[in-house]
This record gives sequence, structure tokens and C-alpha cells, in this order.
Amino acid sequence: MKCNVLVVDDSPVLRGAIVKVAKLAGVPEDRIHTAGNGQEALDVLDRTWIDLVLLDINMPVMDGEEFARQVRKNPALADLKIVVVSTEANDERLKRLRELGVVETLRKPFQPEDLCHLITKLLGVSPSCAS
Amino acid sequence: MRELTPAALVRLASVALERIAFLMAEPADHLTGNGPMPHLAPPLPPATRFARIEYRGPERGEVILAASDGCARSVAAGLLGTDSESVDPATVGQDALRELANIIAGSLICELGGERCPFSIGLPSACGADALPANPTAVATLDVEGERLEVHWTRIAVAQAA
Repeated sequence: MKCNVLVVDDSPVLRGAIVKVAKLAGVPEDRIHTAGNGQEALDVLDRTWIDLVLLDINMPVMDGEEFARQVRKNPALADLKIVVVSTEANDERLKRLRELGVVETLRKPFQPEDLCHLITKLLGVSPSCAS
Repeated sequence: MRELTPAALVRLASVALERIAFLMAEPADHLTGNGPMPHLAPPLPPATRFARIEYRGPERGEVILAASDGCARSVAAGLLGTDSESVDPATVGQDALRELANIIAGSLICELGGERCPFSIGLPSACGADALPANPTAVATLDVEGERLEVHWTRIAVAQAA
């Protein structure tokens, strides 16, 4: 089962909330990885196979757009799915992110159920949040 | 240029609180004497935690949240699914308030910018009461299940046409 998830957000509280939803979606806790910015996320990708990245955009050190750009430069990461989970609303920036291969965008404030269903759809895991 | 009323700020904050933290909020009209029976409503605890975020685009502005410790705790607890009494308001509560500012500012720029939003927001940060603007464009005070949340929106500057 392909279900290694990387949660990238500079807010520890938001990371915790997204991890909680990922667990509800059926992702085992030991398959959920976290990073506080784009650079930390690239470091995780260097040492761990990841199938899905849940990515914030506005972060210090390296933002989500630059992270996505770096990922797309690496052919070894061609199959990596990136979902933006962010307050980002700028039309031009969202267009650039889609061009970088972002598969979905979930705007904060999101319903936890929406994120749960997105994870199950993209990973094919068995959800515990589905009704 | 679109304007946002205090009622719009209440709506944006209420949606954010309900979605991310399962908290119910209502306008704290009794604080301003606009409620039906202001003398019957208990006063809300004072604001002790503050978070600020800027946005840029065709105009520049900022959103500052001022919250009681209990509000910051409740937002964090709702996000994490824990008991609010176990939340340290100075660390986890403050981080939750920053994220709430981020989310409310994200919704606010969509209201200002419409479907093809030209605005971008910065990074939220903690601040003190001295950051509260003397002349905000609009302010809303919310009663969040007996705790205080204030939303201060200030339009700082409008970009000059080239």
C-alpha cells in the first residue's frame, strides 16, 4: 500500500490537526511525516519515500511554491502527488502551482471531512472518517 | 474598492472558527450596547494574546486578532482534538491564534479581491496590544463560547496606478 504522507506547515498546531485527519483517513501513524517548511520537506524526501505531500504555501525559509519547483526538477520524484492546503488565494500563484504539477488545492478553512476524503481518494487507503 | 463591514468580519471569523475548531461564535453586541439586553450579558474576558498578518496587492492592509487566553486555548484544543485545559496559551494557544489570523486574512483577501484574487498574504506573527491600530477600518468583537475574539482590519495603503 502506497501511503507515506508528508505534512508541511510552519504551524505546529496546524500540522497536528492535519496529522489527526490523515490518521482518520486510514494512514498509519508511522507513515505520517512532518516538516515545518519547504527545506525541511526536501530533507525528508532525501531520506524517505513519500507518496503524498500536503503542502502549505506561506512558510519561512522555503515557501511551498519553491518546494514544488525543486520537486519538479528531480525526475526521481515525478510520481509524487502534491496537494496544497493553504490560505493562498492569489490567482497567478495558484496557476503557477498547477503548472508545477499540484494535483489539488484545499483552501483553509477546510472541512476536516474534505481533507479526509481527498487523502483516501489519492492514496486509496481505507478511511475511518467516511460515513 | 470593496469595503468590509464589522458584520462581514464576524462572518469570516465565525466560519473559520466553526470549520477549524468546531467553535460557535456570535457578535458581542452587548459590549457596544447594541444588543437587545446588554445589561444581562456577562462581560467577556480581556484580550491577552495578539496575532498580526499583512496582505499586499492592489492595496495593502493588515489583520490583527486580539483574543482572551481562553479563546486561544479553545482554538488550539479544537484544532488538535484535545482538552482546552491542557493547552498552554503562551505557546500552543499563541500558535493557534497565528494560524487563525492566517485563515481569516486568507478569507478576507478573497472578499476584497473576488474570484480572481490579486492579493497575497504574508506570514502571521505574534504581537502585543501596542500593535492594535488607533483607527482601524473595521473592528468586530466576537463572543466565542464565552471567550473574547476581536478582529481588527486596517487598510494601510492603496497601490498607485502606473
